[in-house]
Amino acid sequence: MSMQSDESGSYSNFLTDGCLCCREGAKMVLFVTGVCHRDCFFCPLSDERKDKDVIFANERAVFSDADVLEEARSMDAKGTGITGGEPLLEFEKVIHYIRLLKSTFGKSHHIHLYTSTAPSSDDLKELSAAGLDEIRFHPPIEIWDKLPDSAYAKSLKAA
Amino acid sequence: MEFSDTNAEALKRRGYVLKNDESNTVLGSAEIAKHAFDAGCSAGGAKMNFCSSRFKDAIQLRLRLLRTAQQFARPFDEITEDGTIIFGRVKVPDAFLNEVIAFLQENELPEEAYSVDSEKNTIETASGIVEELAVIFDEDGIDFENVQLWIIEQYPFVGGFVVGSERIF
Repeated sequence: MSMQSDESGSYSNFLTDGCLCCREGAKMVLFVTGVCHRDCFFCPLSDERKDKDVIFANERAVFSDADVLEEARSMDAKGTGITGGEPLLEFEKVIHYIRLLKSTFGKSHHIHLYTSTAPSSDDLKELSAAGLDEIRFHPPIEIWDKLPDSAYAKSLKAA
Repeated sequence: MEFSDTNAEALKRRGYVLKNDESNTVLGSAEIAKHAFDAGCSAGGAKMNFCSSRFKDAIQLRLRLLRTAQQFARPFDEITEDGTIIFGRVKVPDAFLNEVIAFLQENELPEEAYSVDSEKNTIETASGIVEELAVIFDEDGIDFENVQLWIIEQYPFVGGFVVGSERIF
């Protein structure tokens, strides 16, 4: 595996399709809720978003599906990263947006999702069936030393 | 990790400090990542990516703006490497809007080279055109009752944040 680095001090020996799309400036950031079951001291979210039930596509406040699609078109998005808050607290909303984006922009519109939860294998199947391409697990630090026995290991395997 | 308005107090309480004045990066963050990266490499087979806080501003956001600017820009907008757009704006007193448009047409400015907002009484065009107008107005003593000429730099969308503006006439 070869190392890659760039002028921002980032480096990798592997980049996912989601990362490659973001590096082109072609990923829309879809913030589905500011609400989160965790309370991480390092959370950088602004007061405008933190713990608020709000939706943003990039910096655009979202009140309808049309807002999301308009933002995606305005940047000619090739993909979307779904984040929050904890997006999976709004599971149905996440499924809805994955379907909306895939049906509007086609299968090649690459969608990835961040979560600090350990989704069940049924939930993972549903996300995948809706069209989710990539999932990024952020297990909480308290369980890092017992990760292999945790629900996260099961989720990771199922994913 | 990165500092923000909302987490700064909590980070400081735990002894974290800024890497330098120009970034939001937490000192030591990149070093911890390097340590993990090297450990993963020597363990073998780990696929890893370290995405710096600066990446978001310098690459993700900047390139996203550039992409948006390429979609949004009118023929006369100049796109900067930061993804903002620069153009010229003519602010005209109400009664003189049509006169100024006629003036532009007499000077053979093609239709696609400017855009008229008759509600705001403004005409937007290339910054170079506005600079030329400033010279012409100055030399010929034309001012259409206090017409104003501005150069504007803003984010590339309707109502985008104005990064800079300068009145040149």
